[in-house]
Amino acid sequence: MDALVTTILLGIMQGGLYTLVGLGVTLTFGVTHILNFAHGEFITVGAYAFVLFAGAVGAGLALPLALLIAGGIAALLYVVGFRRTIGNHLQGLAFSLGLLLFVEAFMMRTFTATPRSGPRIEGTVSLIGQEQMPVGRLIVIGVTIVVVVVTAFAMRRTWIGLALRACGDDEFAASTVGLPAKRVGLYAFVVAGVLAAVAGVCIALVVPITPLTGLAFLLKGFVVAIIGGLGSIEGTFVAAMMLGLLEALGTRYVEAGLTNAYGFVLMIVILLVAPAGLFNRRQVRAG
Amino acid sequence: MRSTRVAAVGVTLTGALVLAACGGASGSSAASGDCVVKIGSVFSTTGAAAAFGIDGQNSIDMAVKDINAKGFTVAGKQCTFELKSADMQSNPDNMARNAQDLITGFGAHYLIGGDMSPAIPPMVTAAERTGNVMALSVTTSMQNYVKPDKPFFKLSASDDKMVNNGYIPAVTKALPDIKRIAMLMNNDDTGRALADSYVPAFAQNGVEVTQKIFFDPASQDFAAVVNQIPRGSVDGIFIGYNGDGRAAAIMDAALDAGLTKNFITRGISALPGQQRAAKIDNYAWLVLGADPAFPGTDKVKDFIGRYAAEYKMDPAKVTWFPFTHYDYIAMLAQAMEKAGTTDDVDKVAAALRGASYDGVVQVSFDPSGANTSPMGAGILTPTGGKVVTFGIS
Repeated sequence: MDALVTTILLGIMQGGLYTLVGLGVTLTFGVTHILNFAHGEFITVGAYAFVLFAGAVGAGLALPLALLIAGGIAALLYVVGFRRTIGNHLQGLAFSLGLLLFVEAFMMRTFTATPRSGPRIEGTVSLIGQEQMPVGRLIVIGVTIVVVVVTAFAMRRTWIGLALRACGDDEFAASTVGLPAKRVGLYAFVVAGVLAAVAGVCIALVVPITPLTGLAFLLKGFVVAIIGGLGSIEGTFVAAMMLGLLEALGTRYVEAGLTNAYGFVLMIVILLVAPAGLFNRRQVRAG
Repeated sequence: MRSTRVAAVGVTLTGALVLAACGGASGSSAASGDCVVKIGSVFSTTGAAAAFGIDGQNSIDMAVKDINAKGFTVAGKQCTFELKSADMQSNPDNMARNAQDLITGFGAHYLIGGDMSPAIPPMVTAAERTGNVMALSVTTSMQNYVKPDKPFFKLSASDDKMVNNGYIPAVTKALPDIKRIAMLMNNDDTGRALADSYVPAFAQNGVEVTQKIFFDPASQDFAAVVNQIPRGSVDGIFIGYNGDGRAAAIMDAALDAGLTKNFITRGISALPGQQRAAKIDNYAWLVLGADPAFPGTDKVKDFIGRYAAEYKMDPAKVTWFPFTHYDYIAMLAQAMEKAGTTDDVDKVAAALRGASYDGVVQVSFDPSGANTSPMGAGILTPTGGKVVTFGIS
């Protein structure tokens, strides 16, 4: 029972990280219909920027710098490449896969596979019995909750959020009221880049990072985006929490050797029951 | 239409950049002389294994350059090496193609590398199919192919001799207060087989393995994994065969959970312990050849300086890989001199068996071809770090 509380908190934290990653995937797909395999590299860039700047100028300044860099790179890549692939899924896929491999190789050459740790937030909070939870992990839970709530609010109450949703719902109708999909796609990429950077920062606070960290989380981001229903923010959040809790509970109580299999089992089961995902309002079509 | 063309050009350029970044292309060190011995090296210079693979390739390259500067004499002929390198891209599936290209395309009779265990079967298969090809690798699974009548050599001792009979006794002697440990291993065939052999080895040295946990090798966060270990049930954690990243993540999770501050790794780097020196009590790691963080001799120190300068890298980032590769090229030349041939691989293999070479570190094979090079246990304690060297018998 003591360990159950700890395990659930660990699952919620993991689910929060998956939410941040999955939101970026689902946002960019919703607006541009690009399944961006390079999204994980925004996580890696954000995490490395935070760790490197934290050592030089302190964590307080490193955080906005990391978000700025990841958001800026996402915008640049969209303008230079992704924007031109909208409407052609094969080109978008090839471009994002190429970017993934290139950035990964570049990061590996530059930073090597030596693990790096971000600034650790010391201290623990006592739970039931002998159980304890590090403050850093509780902060990550808090940060992800705030970011998810703010993102959900912004999607409903701000002009950019409405533009993103409008283009996601009906690109043609949005364009008739002055919302060109390609420009709104830029907003989607910037928001996705910043969310990925937040995820990268949170990851660097709790586990060592390597140039492959982003890719590992990207796969989970895809899983939750697909389970939740591509394009659905609520669905992504629910699916991410399900996956985080399933992984934590499965690892603790069933079999630690299958941690990464649980997500794919969950995906298969849910897609058998709801082929378009849990919260998909419309059928996802190619084109 | 225009945007489609631009996108197509973009995709093509991206592909070209990816190929340039990821390798697949290979370079070669030119050679001259009466006889030229072709060596093919296959390491991962891109991808996850590149941290070691780049050092593997560089150390072979440096060895070839150093030997070629002086040359070596075989049957009265002045010989040099010619090296061609291939990038395995951290994907063992590439090994078959890489090995075949080097053997049939380049004409190599000597293959070295394969920095991942699953890459060894295709490497050995390619060598056996062609015949008259020697394969050398430091990778654990190479031990399965070391036979007295086969030209296959492992560039470190067998796990049984190195860990069970050397490392575990050395560590348990150096850290006498650790009596109960939890063992965390990869959930794969190698991890399970190693765990089965390590448990009795620890028991023979007075340490009880209270719990074995096999984790998903793709895990990033180990908090839920270490949560299986009851508080106060262990004095330390043994982390199985792993890279630094995974060892560091397990250590962080265990420290966060307040489980223990003692860590024994089967890993081969001081780094995870050094990075957390202020938070841990003891950290032990396996040392193959020499440890760049704790160079025991002037020869090792000089080598690190020269190697880092040659490949324009930070000396602190040199891994242990050069120490398990560099000297073997000189040893190979020595064996060719003794055998009086460069292209009869069986005769060169026979000359390697029972040979030793005193280079930057000591390397040796027993008469059956088993590696008997001295190894070490690195011990990091609150009072400092040291390497305890032990022989292999």
